[in-house]
Amino acid sequence: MKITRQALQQIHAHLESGYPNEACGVLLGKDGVVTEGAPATNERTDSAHNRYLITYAQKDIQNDADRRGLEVIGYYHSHPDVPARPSQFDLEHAIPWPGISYLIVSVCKGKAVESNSWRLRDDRSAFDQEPVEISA
Amino acid sequence: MAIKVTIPTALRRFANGQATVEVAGATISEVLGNLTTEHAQLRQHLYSEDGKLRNFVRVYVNDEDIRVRGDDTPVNDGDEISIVPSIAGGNLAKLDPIIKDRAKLTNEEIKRYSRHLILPEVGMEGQERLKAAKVLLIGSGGLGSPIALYLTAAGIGTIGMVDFDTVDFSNLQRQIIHFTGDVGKHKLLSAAEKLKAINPNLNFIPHPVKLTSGNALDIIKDYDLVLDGTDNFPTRYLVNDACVMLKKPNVYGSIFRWEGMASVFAPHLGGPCYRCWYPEPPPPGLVPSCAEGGVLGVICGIIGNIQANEAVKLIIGKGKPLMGRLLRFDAMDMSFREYKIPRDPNCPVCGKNPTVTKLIDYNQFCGIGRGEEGGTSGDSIVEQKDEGLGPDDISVETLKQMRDRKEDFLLVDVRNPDEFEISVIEGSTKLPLPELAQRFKELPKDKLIVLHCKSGGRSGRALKFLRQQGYPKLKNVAGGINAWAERIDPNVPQY
Repeated sequence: MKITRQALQQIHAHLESGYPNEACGVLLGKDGVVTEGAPATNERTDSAHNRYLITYAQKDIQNDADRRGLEVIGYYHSHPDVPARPSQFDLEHAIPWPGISYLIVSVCKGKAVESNSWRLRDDRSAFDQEPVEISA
Repeated sequence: MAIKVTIPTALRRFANGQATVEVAGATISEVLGNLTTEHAQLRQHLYSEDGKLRNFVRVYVNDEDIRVRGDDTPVNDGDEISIVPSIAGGNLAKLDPIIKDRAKLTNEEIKRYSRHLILPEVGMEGQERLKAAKVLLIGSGGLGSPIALYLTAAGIGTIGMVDFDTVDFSNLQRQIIHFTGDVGKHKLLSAAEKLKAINPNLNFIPHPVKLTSGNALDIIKDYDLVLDGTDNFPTRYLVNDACVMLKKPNVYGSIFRWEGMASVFAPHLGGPCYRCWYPEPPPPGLVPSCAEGGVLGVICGIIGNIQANEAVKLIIGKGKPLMGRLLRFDAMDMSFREYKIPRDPNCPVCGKNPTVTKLIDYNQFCGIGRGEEGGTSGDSIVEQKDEGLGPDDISVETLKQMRDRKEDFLLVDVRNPDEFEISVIEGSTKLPLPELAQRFKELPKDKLIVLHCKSGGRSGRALKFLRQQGYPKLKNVAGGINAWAERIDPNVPQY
């Protein structure tokens, strides 16, 4: 996944501000490069420290992106105090559509310490890690 | 009629790269049907094989989710349909085992643990992690007893236990690791004998001390996991804070009368800590201890075993831990209820900007000083007795002398009526603490009033209350009727 330094910094700031809860959002960009993260409200208020859910917020984010000529490249969310790898729950609830990047950021003690991006296999059996290329 | 449908970015490649598609149809299902006929590849991404919308696919007409009104809802010119995937995730569903090492089993152990070994979730791997695990039990009382017995039987390799107390007759009703013949023996000695008898391979480490802010970090640091079986607030906060600081999971349990609670506190694994739930202790005296309120012994087995169960799961890394959730058990209803405990971002210990970064004076934090009961029951670790008399206290010896000299005072027993049946100091006036606020006017203001309860805690609170009501001459019997029974009148039973 390609991402601008500024976008990654902005996403980190958003996820850090949500700590110790999970925060989440949508990766937007152009020509396959993520240029910004669109923060979404975590709808899982019942268990926000370890779950996230975005449904209706995506409609507005998608419409806004279309207006500005941006595309939805994927999704991002934080793992407070645990490593930046997908959980079984992430696997079971990922969108089984092709070409979506899932950026997971480990936020430990309020600081973003690790950012990994993942793609879901076509058969939904696992995630494969993809390199995160940071551009200026 | 043509309706505009917005296609999510990921699926636009199946709709000739278009962001929006104009589709004809009079109802939502017609529009979606026509859409997926026109762009056949969309179908498998939106519908499952039984022809239903996939569960993560959300369809909105303007702003309304179609699940509200059903997909036969008519659509009108100018309506816009949006297809949006719902995305969910989380970090806790799969926990890594907290024990990374594995200790090889001997052939004898393989035989001993065969029922675990054939359980797929445990197996050799899990059993070897249990053997490698070092677990610390705070207290060898009501909760510590079943926890220690079951974890020893389960094959935990190392069990440490903190307790400074000796076995008392009043312990035997619930502290099942101790037997009648153990009365008077140090609890850790008594526990060690039973645990070694169950499993001679156990590495048992006794800590015959009071857990304090001075030694807690040093004791806990060598263990992988802590099970809290204390019955008082100062130790509970001490254990919580030390575990947060050392990043050790803290399996919590508590019991009172016919109820029990259990949870797992582990901020380093993403869950809350005890302080996220209870940032501050209740005022001293608001929550009675088991020594004051009583407890059904059986409850200890139920809650202690829930704690043992969670410890095993954490060690082998299986299942869904009781983290972020509080399980509350009601023995009278025979019901379990679950409550969510969210993590508090402003938690003074595990929050973003912790203000408690080293262990504090937990007796002071919990408002426990002289004259208050810090829990002198068998379970308690923070002991308050024998710390001398406060300004309002008199000893049972002084009380005896005052009676012998026939001094003019009123002795008031503030225990509950049930307790009057157990023991009584002859000549006392009975006024249970819960009734005091309504009935205090029965007491004379011109006479010295000497208050007592079981061990001095409740009568101390009664004294404070009466002082607020303007009673000038008040005293509290330190140690209560139990001290009277122990030191003055052996015919009065202790409980």
